[in-house]
Amino acid sequence: MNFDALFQPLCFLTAALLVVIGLYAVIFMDNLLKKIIGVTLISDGVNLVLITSGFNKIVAIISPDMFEDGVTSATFEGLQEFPEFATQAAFPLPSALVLTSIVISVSIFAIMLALAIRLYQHYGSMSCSTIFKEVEE
Amino acid sequence: MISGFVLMGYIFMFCALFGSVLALIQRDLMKAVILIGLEGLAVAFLYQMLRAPDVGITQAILGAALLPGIFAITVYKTRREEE
Repeated sequence: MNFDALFQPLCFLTAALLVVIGLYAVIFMDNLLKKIIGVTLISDGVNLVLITSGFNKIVAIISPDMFEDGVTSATFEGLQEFPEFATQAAFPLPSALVLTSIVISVSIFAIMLALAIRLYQHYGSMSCSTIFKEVEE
Repeated sequence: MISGFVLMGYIFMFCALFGSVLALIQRDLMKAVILIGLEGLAVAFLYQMLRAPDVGITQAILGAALLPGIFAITVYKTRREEE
């Protein structure tokens, strides 16, 4: 049983479970802060999917015979002269995208928490059912 | 066989999932905020193991320090116990 080869699939599984737990919190939790915690979990899960999909992707680009549907690109042909680097490097595009996504998500959570504070000051409760009841009246 | 590096990765995956589940079942919201910081730190170490160290550093600063900070400010401004 080779546990090292299971690292990338288990990372995908972790990301999927984070998204599922976050969706459960957003839909079924009553407290407003717990709902915002669920949104942070969804954000972490999606970023983890993107980073995990770029793990060891350069190996697939350089030596396509190791994988069944190898993707070849003429841009990375020069990397065949550096096999030690090529077997250990990750694909750099998803990390560049996720770096921006993390910073933007933190500012979005700051705005969400500020709106939650304003809701509490206006209605006097953090419970969603209480707020909805007071809105209907 | 399993190497120590990959075993640490599995431990961090377990920490991320278990911390997020524990954060959602807390009645005290400050404990939930601290557990969200634990989850962000585990995900940051996981980014480091997936060979994206720049994303890991950014997640460790923003997701494990700044985000629980602004959550704690929100808990301080509103009520601490979940009704």
